[in-house]
Amino acid sequence: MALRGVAVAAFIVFTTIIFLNIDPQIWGTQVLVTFAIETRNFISTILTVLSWLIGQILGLFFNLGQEEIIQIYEATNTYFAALGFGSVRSLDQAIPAFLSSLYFLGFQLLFLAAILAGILSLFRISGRLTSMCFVSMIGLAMLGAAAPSLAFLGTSTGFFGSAWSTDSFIFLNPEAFFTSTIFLVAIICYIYLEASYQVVYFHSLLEPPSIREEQLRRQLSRLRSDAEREVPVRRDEEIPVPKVLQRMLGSEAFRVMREVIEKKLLRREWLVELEEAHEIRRLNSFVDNLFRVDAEAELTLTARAATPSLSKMAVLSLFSTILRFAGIIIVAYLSFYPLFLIGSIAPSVIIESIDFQFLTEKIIILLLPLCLLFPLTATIISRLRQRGSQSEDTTSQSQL
Amino acid sequence: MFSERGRTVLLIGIFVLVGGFAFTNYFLTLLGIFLIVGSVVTSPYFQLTIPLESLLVSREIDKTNFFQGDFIHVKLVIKNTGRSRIDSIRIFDVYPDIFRLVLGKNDLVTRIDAGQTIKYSYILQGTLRGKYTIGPTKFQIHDRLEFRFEEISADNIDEILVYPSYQDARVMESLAAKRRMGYMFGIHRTRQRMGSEDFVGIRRFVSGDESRRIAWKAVARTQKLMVRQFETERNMRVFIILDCGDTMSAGKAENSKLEYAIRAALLLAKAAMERKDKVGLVAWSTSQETYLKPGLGEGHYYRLLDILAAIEAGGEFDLAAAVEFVASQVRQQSFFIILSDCEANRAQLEKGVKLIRGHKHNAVVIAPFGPWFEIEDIYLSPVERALGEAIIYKLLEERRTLSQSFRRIGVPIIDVGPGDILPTLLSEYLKAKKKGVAQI
Repeated sequence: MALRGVAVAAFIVFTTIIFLNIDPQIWGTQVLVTFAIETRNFISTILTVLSWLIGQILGLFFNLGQEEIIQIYEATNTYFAALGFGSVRSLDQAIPAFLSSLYFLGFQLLFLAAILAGILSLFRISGRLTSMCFVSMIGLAMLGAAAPSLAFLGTSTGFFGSAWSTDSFIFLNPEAFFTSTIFLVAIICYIYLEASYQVVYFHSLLEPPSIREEQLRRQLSRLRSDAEREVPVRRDEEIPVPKVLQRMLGSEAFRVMREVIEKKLLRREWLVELEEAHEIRRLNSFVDNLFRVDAEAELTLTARAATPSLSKMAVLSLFSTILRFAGIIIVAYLSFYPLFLIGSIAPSVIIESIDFQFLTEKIIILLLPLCLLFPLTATIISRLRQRGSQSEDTTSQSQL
Repeated sequence: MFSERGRTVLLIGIFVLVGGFAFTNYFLTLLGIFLIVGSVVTSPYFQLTIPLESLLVSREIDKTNFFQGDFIHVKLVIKNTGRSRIDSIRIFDVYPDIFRLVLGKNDLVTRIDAGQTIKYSYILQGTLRGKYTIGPTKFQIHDRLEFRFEEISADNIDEILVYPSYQDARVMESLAAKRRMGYMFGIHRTRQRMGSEDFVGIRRFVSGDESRRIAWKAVARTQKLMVRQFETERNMRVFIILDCGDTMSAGKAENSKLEYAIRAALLLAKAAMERKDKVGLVAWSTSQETYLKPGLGEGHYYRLLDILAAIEAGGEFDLAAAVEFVASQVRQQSFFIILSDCEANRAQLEKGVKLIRGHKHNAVVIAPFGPWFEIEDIYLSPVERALGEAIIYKLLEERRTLSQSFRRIGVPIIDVGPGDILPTLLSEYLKAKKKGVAQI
């Protein structure tokens, strides 16, 4: 429950930050209408260009004069206009307008998807919903970050203000790093992911045993009630046969025919029912006998004994999560502030170079080896353990 | 290795990081780093906690040999003998597809602390005769966030043997009970002159009759030489030759000709042994050769059950080879009941039948007719039905010529379907018994 609270809080904080920081014009209520109009305008422009192209190509093939080409162009254009796609704008106006409406619509849809997936994941615990919500949040952040680069949007700063992407930030000291808005929002975003997956983990361990137990109880009670049920004898059941046949065949022949039909139609169904009832009774007596002979049978069938203790799980999870976070933050800081490690190793020519001083990509220098170090260590551990188990096998075989 | 979730987080991380570089946005860059590092940071610890040998698994099955349709209780006991806990483990016990899981579940998702033992169980129903294995137990180990997983498998495989259904034998036993109560008296008597058991009646004396059988009172009354006639039961030697070639397994597994033939063989053995007749079995094809010499008693019946349970269809039926083998093992006259669909090589079949007659044995072929078994419980469209009927006519024509050829040798072929294979087989056995063939 506490973890769920953390996840919800992180989600609310993140969506509020986005809502408050993004250019307000993005929240226009007419985005869908604007998108529809701009799409129509865009198609119209494309068709106008197409009409011009058709005129040019036909003129080239049939050796036509300029006037005839213009006539073709106008005729085609009129035809498209009749379909509702008249030329409105030039291409250099239509494309940015269309992309801008697409951007606003995409942003609103992503925001809606994030809110929807976030709310749904409150009621239905699912890793897929969490991932969906997180991807939507990331999508919003990416679109927000892209806004200042897209001049045609006409937005001032997009999602992130200047404080969010200052060039000098990368050279700040550790204290500035850990108290910066960028770090806090990024860690909140990551906390949402981590806490949501932890909730899924707890749910996957604690929920199935209770469902399993409930299911078994239901199955057993149904088994008991079905075992007591008697299958009705159907020999006397009558199938309606037209009376006209009785007149045609006579009473004795009619009786025999009725019996034949009844046997054919009812016997099969009745036998199936009888067999099912027999199976259920056998299973019931098997289960009764099992519970008599094996005292822990009911416990093992429900797997109740295998349910982990919640308090123990919570304490251990808290410790390991703290350790995990500490690891992630340290590695992130080292990668983000490479001078801390590289400063004493690399030659001053490299450190003082313009590339190293001003390019964001320098993060890769430490991030790549640091991140590869973990899988590499895991692979070494795995190989060593496998070799150890193989040598144990060989030893035990030679002893045999 | 990375799970789907782990891969997704890593890829999103890389994408966001690149986005951060592209837009010179440190928020995205930092988030990308968090995601990339978060997806790999625990991998060494996870690798250390994988219980390569520390997970001990034992499976307890309440019975390993049982009849088709019976239930078994499978219990798994798993102990983590290692020093580290397993945060998330999915245990999955493999059982044969043809079995039915009736209660409980064969998988479990849990967490196992160091030194902890967990138990869970499930109930299965064996739906088809045969030799099967339960296991191995497979483990899928995840880290807490399910970013990484590893699959390991224990080598705990248990063999189980499912005998053919005992239902027919139960019906048989109930009939036997009725017979004991006198409802079905005398259906398996053999008329034997000069026997010494039950009195049947009086008839005229013929040359060769023993003088001690003369019924003096009847002689006095009729003024003719009369003898008392007795009825006795003599035991016979029955050999079941079972075709276990490929063609016998066509159709649905539980409705195949082989399954019905095995049920019939089991029922016949039960009926014959109840009457103290010796029953032998030969299950023959180019891929398997199984022989059980004629015998009696409970032990013999269970041996027969074991063999019938383990039979698998494969190869081609070779009647001649089967008969040659039996002839080399048993010199005495026997009654052969051949359970075969007669779809194998015709020359081999004829050669086999001739060999039987050549060794002075009696035989009857009970031939499950393919189409009657294969289209049982299957919905066919009108076109399919018409095609099926055309095939049936063609097969019946072939069967008619084969039947004529066998009849000339003195071995009848009786075509049977799923509904009449059991009564036909029993009736042929009783007919032979009545005739007094292959007596011991």
